[in-house]
Amino acid sequence: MILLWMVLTPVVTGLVCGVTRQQRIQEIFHLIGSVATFVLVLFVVWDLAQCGSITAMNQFFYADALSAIVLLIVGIVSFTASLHSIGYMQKEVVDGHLHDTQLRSYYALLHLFIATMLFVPIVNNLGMMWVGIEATTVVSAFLVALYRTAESLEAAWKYLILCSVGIAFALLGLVVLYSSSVQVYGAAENRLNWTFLSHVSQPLPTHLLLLSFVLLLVGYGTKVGLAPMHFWLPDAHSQAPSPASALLSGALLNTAFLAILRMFAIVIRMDGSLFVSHIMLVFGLLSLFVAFPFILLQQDVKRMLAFSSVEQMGIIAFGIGIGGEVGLAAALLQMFNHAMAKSTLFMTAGNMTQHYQTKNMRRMRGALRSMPYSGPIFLVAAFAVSGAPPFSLFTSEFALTATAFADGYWFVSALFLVVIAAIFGVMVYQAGRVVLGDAPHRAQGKERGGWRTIPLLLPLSFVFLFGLFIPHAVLELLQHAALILEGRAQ
Amino acid sequence: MDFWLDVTVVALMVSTSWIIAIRYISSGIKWLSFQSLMLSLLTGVLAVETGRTDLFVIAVLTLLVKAIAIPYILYRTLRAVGVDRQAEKTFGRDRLIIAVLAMWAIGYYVTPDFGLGYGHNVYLSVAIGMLLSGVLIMITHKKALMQGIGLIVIENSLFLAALSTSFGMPFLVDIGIFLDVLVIVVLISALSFRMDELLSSMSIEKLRRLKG
Repeated sequence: MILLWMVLTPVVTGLVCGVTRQQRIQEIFHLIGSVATFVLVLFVVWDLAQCGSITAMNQFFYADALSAIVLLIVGIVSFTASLHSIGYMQKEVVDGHLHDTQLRSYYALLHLFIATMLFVPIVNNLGMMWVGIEATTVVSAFLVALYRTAESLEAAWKYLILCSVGIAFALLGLVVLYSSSVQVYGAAENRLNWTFLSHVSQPLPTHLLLLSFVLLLVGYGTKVGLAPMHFWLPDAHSQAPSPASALLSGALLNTAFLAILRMFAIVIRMDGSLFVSHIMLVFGLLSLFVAFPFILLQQDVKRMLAFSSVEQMGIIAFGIGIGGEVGLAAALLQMFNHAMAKSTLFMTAGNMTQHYQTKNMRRMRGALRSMPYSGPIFLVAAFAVSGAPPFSLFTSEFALTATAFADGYWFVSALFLVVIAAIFGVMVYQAGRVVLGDAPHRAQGKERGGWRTIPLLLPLSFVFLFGLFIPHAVLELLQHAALILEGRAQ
Repeated sequence: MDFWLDVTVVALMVSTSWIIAIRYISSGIKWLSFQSLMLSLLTGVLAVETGRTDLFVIAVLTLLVKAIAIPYILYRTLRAVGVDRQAEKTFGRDRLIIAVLAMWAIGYYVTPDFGLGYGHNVYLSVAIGMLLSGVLIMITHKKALMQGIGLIVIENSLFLAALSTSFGMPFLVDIGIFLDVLVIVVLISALSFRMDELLSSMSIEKLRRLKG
């Protein structure tokens, strides 16, 4: 039942925020709802770490270690973004970028968005998972279009159309999977359930299985932002309000990735061929190569971060492709670390956009001096996201590359390292442009601490902590999830 | 019974081919509604044949959501921006007709490889042809609402694919898909209305601000 409550709490919070007229009371409801959601998520993750898996409501819900990792990511990112929203949105209203009705719909949509993202990792039926992912698209497209400018409209349109068409192919993949499952085992309602498909003794026909995997990879890959299906991503991430961008990049991409991982695990169990691993490797490397020039030449700070997300999803796909227990665990750890660092970056970028009143990095200077909170946080998170030690992303990327070399993937690993190193240089250069130097005269006022900055320390602390040492419980969870992906554990 | 299945499938093919070639958006919406009606009939016939109650429910839902509610929402949006809007295309009508015939041919030739064991599943061929035609509608039309129509054609084709291979997806999943499609259509309508208001055109060619 706790799984159901975890999804319902943000829904109720969203509805209440949507009908409350006074901003003050709205914020109080929003705060209470966010805290309650976060507590429930932590409780579920704790439960999963203890007992491995939870089933509820006649097998409708099923959660395991893999779900736990994604739930933890969604929980932390959405909690931080919710707290950050309070300060950020107050400033937007004061600056006249938003009015009351937009604010109300923002809070309502934010919580509904969180609810859909919490729903995806815990449903058993892969078809319901599709429904959940499509629901995240719909709700977040409203969020992207929140400012109602020509640009935000364009971004929302591209996002909605590209992702809906992409995900339609994923549905075709599910149709193929379901029909072959029905063909082999006979008709029943549970033929698309993860619990059923991951336990079967007789494998499905290989060609249908692989066809279904490719369709699902292309479909959900659109949503994950793997190149060459990533074209919606920089637009939507740059036009959404910053806390929503943080959610899109930090939480949503990973929930969509989870859907690919589930299918990946099913194929590995039934077929075990290297085909799926190799296809992940190709998509991963391609994303890295595509993202690099766009990060280098970018002027818009949020677009730059969005392309960095494409790169990071590439790294994760690469790790999944390398495989092996260590490789998979490292990829999952990378997923967590990226979510923490990137959501922090998006939210500080939001603070900077408000401070400098532009998103153009040419006109942002001296953030270290004029923004004593956001400036340093941005610098640290930028270093972290590009994989510098001693931060957590270094750990996961190192483990990943080491496994790749150990498994004999010499050529691709070398390519991978070259691109990663190049992107590191570019990211540091871009971050340096923003934080160093003297602030322009328009933005001389000093930044003060508050809702907009303090909550960011939560994800940032994970970036520090996991770089130095990873708690045993977390390692066990990662290992268990990696075993599930490899097909050696349930 | 098989006769009625064949009639509805042919009607599906005709309506899909027709939507690509129409001149006014309003007739596109009408043909979309007709297409969904045929799909609902097809589901109804299958329900009678197999005696499954869940298929009956799905047939009625298809009728209510896809044949009535969705066209109504699209039509209301169209009325708000002006009913006489033309569906601008990037290619001429004759080329599009040839392209759509090619789509049906591709649909026919790729499906035997699905190898589901019952010989050639013609309904699946039609579904794949419809899917490709839906994509073709989205690629070749410039108006936002027409892209929405293309998306619904794609949804309809997937519904047909599921129906032809395994009598539809699991019941709850089907219901979820209906809900999603309905909300997508509402969103598409809202966005195209705002687009018309803000850019004084529904043409997606105006969407060129975000680059790089």
